[in-house]
Amino acid sequence: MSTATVSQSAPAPASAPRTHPLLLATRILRMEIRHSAFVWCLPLLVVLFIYDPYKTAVNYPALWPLRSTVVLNKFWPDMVVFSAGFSAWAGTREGRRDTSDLLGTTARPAWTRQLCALGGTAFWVVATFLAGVAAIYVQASLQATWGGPAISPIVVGVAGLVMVCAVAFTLGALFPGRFTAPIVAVALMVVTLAAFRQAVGSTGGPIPVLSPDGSVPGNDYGLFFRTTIGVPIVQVMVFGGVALVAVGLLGLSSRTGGTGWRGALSAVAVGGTRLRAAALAFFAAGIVAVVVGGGLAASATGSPADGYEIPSIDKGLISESIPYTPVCSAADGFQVCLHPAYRAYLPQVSSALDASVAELAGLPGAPTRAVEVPQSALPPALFEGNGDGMVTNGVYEFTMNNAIALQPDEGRLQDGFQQDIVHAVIVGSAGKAAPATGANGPRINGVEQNNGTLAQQAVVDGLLRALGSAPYPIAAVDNGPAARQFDQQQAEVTVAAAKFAALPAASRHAWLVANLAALKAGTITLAQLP
Amino acid sequence: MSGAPRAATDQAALGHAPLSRAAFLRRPSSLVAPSSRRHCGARLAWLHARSRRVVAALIGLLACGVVLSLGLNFHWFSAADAAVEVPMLLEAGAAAIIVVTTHSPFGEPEQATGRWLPVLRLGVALALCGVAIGLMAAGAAIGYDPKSGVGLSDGMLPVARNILGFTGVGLLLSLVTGGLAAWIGPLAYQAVCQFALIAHYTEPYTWASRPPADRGGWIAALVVFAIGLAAFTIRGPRTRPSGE
Repeated sequence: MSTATVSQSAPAPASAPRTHPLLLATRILRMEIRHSAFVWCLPLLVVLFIYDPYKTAVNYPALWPLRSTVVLNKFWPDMVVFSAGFSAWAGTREGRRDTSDLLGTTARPAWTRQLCALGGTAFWVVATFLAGVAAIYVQASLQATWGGPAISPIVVGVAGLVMVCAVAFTLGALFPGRFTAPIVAVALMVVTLAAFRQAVGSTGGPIPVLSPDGSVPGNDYGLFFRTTIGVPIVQVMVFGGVALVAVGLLGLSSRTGGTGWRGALSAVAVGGTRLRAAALAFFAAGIVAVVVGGGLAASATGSPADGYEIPSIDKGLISESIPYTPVCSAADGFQVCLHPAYRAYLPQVSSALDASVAELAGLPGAPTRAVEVPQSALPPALFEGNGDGMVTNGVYEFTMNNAIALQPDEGRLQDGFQQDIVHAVIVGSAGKAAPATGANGPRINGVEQNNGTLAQQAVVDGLLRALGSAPYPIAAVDNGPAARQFDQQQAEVTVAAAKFAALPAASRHAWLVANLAALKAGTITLAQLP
Repeated sequence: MSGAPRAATDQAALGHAPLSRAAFLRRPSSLVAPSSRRHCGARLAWLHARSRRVVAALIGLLACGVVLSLGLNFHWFSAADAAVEVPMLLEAGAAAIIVVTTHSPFGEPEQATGRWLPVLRLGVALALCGVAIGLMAAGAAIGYDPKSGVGLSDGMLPVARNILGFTGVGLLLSLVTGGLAAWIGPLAYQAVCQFALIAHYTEPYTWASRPPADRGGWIAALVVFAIGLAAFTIRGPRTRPSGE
């Protein structure tokens, strides 16, 4: 007999190939991206984007630093309510559908799938934001005359939106219910608006510094002085910190399937050591970032470039002026020099100033040349009364901040310059600073406008009328008997100005040469005007 | 034939009184005393309200009123556009809360439960609108301080108009998306109105950005509310197999 022996051992059962956790997470993330409800609000966001941020940016002067501000001032707040609402909606999903128990039996921890759900919504939010930024920047690149695309608004915007998504998602996961999404969306939007109001009101403290959207800066923003890098760094630090706190909370809270606070600190609790360590690290790092960022924001000071600077980060960098070679009109006539960013406006500015200087030629106080300077180099009182500049030692120093409106306004540039020059020669200074008390109590910077005598007003308005400009703006009296008297006087000034403007140019000029000293001294009355 | 006598015999065998034709045709409601009927009506309304989470909605609406009052106290609305922006946001929030209550946890089977469902839908929607306007008015009244000039810049009329209009938008959306996702309508529409406010649009359909006396704005808001309420009352929100 022969015995058959099996010499070869039985093959080991084939184990299923182990899938890398990262690959699994990517798959879930892709699924969440495909199923995100945020897609449904994209058409509305596109319409809002075209009519609000994009249209606003197109109307701004073609300067990179100024147009970049639209990203945070206009587009970012438009996205907050949708980002918050849909993130909270995604966060409430497991609670809303009562699937928490069912999903609790899966191999992966709750934190993994929640982060994927958060990532799915955040992906669409960030992608939409970046698409909008790209549209604004591409349009700006076709027209911009100075500077380059600013990166900081993009980074701050993305960090801010990720923060909104993380906070809203965590709130949704912590308090799942049908009302959570709308309430969280409204609450975060109210917070955004409250911070914005503090930023516009410059109330002090860290909140105005941390608010992504604030006042629209002047046209000079980023032209003469470097813009701050400290404020965007602090904002990203705080936004990132808040996002980390929210994500850490998501992994730790037992309400969202985490290990709970006791479990997080226990070495033997369920949920995985690495997971607990990561969630705790996120939470702690977030707290540190928020505290440090908040402290830095509280140390912010005013910046010459507009807005704020963080002294410990910017280290005087902002105070350094950016070198440039001005562009000037021909030196044989009345020379006008502008920052090269405004090269396209040189003919308009020269034309407006040439006409007014020709009308006042030979009179004492008339400027011999005009130079653009940063707004911070001029007294603040000047801009309370629609001024563009002042005549100092025969040089008209002006800024383009007020001259070019953020909405197209053809007459504004000519009117502003001619009003300045004529008022400076006939009346003198535009006014002086006068501290006043605001409606809510705080001291504010007011201005005591120098309107001049009625005769001076009539001559100024007459000359401006002859030049084709609007009358010099006079601060009106609101109510009471003084208001009636003011209206009556202004009617008389208007009549006298029309009469003066109707004189031949040579007669006007001759009368001014003979009587300017008396007119400036205030000894000529309205009735004595020709 | 012997069918009817046999049935009567069976009833007698079971110890019941024989079922007469008159008793069979008698309307069930006439069997219930009027006081008991009122009790049943109240219980039905209460159960309907509970299934719609009306109590939680009332807390949410109260929160809107409290935030409005706090906002007035802390001068969140002191700047020009903010005087309208923040109240508009709260009005949209209130409308969003109202329209989310339209979701039924029972789905389609509830539609076969009787003829009172449309009436209950209408009643809850109208009652919540009234409560929302009342709570916002109370919040505004608490925050009102004539000495420091703090108060709603345009008074309560725009608040009522906007809540009704936004609710109409949400009710219309609930027919398409279902009640749970209907909050998107009021919040999205307020975003459009916020933009219209900043851009100084004057079209009546952006009613929330129009002054209180603007007739076109009132007509637009009330028409949307009426259509939304009528459609919602008759059809109810969309129900899906998943219950959402």
